[in-house]
Amino acid sequence: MTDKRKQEIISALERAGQFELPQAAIERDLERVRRALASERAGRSLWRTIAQSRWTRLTSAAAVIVIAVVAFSLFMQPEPAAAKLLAQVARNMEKLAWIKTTTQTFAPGKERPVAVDVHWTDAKNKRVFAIYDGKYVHLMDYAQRRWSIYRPETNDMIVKPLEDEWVSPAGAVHEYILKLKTEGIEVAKSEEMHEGRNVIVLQFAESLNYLQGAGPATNMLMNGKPVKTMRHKIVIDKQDYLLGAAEITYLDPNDAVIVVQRSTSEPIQTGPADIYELGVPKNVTIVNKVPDERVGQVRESIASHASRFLDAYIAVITEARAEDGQERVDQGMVVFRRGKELRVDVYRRLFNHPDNVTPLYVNELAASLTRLKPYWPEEEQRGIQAVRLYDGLWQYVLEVKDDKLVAWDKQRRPDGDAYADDDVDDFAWRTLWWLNEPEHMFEDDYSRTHGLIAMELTPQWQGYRLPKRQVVYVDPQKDYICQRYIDEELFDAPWQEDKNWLDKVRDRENLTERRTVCDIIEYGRTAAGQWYPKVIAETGHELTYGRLRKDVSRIIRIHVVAERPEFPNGVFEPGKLPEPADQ
Amino acid sequence: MGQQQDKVLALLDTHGQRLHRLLGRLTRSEDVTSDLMQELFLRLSRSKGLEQARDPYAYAWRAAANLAFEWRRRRKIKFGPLEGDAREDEPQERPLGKLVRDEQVQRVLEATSRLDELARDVIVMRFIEQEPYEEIGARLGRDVAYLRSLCSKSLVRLRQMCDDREADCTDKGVPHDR
Repeated sequence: MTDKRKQEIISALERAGQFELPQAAIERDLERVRRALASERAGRSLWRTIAQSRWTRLTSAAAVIVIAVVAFSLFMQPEPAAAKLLAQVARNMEKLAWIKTTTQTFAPGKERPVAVDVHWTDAKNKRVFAIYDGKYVHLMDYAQRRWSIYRPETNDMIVKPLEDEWVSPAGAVHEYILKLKTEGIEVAKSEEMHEGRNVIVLQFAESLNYLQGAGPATNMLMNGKPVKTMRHKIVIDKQDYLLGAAEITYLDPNDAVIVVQRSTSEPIQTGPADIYELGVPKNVTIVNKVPDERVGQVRESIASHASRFLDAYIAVITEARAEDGQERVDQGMVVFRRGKELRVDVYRRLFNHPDNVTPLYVNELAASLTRLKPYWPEEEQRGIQAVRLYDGLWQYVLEVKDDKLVAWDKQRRPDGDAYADDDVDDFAWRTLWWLNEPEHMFEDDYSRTHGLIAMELTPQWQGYRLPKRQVVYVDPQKDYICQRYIDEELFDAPWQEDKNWLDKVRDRENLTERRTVCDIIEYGRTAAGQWYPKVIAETGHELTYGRLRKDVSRIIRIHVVAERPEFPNGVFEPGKLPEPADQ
Repeated sequence: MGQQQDKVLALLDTHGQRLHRLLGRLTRSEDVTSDLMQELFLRLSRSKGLEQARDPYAYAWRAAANLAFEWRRRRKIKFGPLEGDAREDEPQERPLGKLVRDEQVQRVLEATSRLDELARDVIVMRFIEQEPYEEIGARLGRDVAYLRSLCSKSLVRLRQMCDDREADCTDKGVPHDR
């Protein structure tokens, strides 16, 4: 082999080594896995799910009730008899002050439970007490928005913010009854004797979609195995029409049983007054992870203003690389937003590769192609990359893979669309988060000069990851939009607590420091006077230890082309998405 | 299970980012990386091998590489533009010409997936992760001179595989392997 040929191969491999995904994607994925693993370790066995939906996070609420309503919500066909029965159960549950639920988890073939969890739900004060595996004591206080977790091994109690909204057992049932009209299920209903009492038994099964076409991963993980199917059995006592017992069998993609959970619940007069009644010692060490109260207020203002932004619009968002004073568009997104519904057609630069996909779908993409053209007129330079549709509950994604438009399994997303950089809201109202790390306020020259509120997170060095800092500068005069956003992981910075952390890293040549600063350099206003970012300048660099620094500079332009428009016919209908190629 | 979970969590904290980066470089797709990352830790959390591994990171690294190359081998069509390829044209990158465009990268990665496991791992560590031979030797417990020789032979093998594929495509009169 000649040196030249050898160098070609080496160059291609080195080029593969230069490929980097956005840091946000890395963190998102790590956090996703971390939560799943941490959840398992903590013994919160009921809803060990990677996808953090509001409903699946109800794990610690009254378990048996949640088991029932979650199951119904997912699968029930408009089933008048079952819906009527459920409505009656909900009415009865509204009258309950306290409910105690005991859940036992059984491994296949075992008669003794591998875990026993107990929940006490205080409906009046919006609190849930729990003991997991007989030792981990939790208090979810939805009124105070605090989550206390006692760990006997270290005799400490972490107190952190509780992000989820309270949903009473009855409220959840009502909400799910409404959903019966939109989601399908086949419910088997029977009447029988259960422990000497007349009961109604409802049974049904749910099948989860694969994250990939061929599996095995789904968005639920139990005992380290992906859950493909859940079989539910709900027992309603005919005497008081309350949920008395439930059983869920979790099966893997091969239909093998992973675990079976059996729950019983009962109304009680009263429950624990505080967490110490459940065995937490008075000398416990409190680890406070609750952010500064002012931070909470600002975060609420951010969320509030974000929710008030245009409820219906069409926008074109372009991302360009700045080169010698010129802008070269690399990506264009056409956004159709109507309430919760969101359709985004993503176009990317072709890089000398022929576009074999877009021409096949010119009719289906006509609405976005037409709107993109004024802002990225060079048709030969761009091609469709993805079509994403969120219909308010389900996320549909079509993507170009290997020169074909292919469809991923649709994903259930009760919390909202799955992408954090898809619409105007995502660029305008940013919030910081980091597991177990409280956010705090500060002031500096920039915030004082521009009248901004500055908040930051500074997770320090942990093993391999560099010390990290995320900062938002929020403008209260402009609808709490994030005027400047900084995301940095640096070898050396004043905010690092351990100045010698790098000395402890053995393979530091694998470390890469990054800094990204996003500044809004031009604002736009809607007809109603709401602010939004019109032009964002993104600058930054990457530096792998001991190598050359790479500077990055991008311009993001947001064009709100229509407010509360008449939308193109069928643009939000899953049935009218482009037909994917055979996979 | 508790100890295993601790070990996997520690691995995630200390090396998660590196493993993610490895998956990203070998698949060149954000979505695939995301799914494979999940699948990797799913497998590790129930793996007896990890428990017994002298070096958990090395074990996880190999599992990640296996997953990524397994995915690559499973793909029906090998060389097309992938989602991450928007980064291909970074202004500061060297002008490598036609042979280093993305199709070439995909082609070489595809060929790498068909090398035997040791050769494949050495190629990835040396040229994609830019590890020095001494470090690779320490990680794999192999003599440096042997690794240099293996690398050289593997490059020849890769070139042959790429040439065979190109010739195959030319014979069929199509521009890409499909």
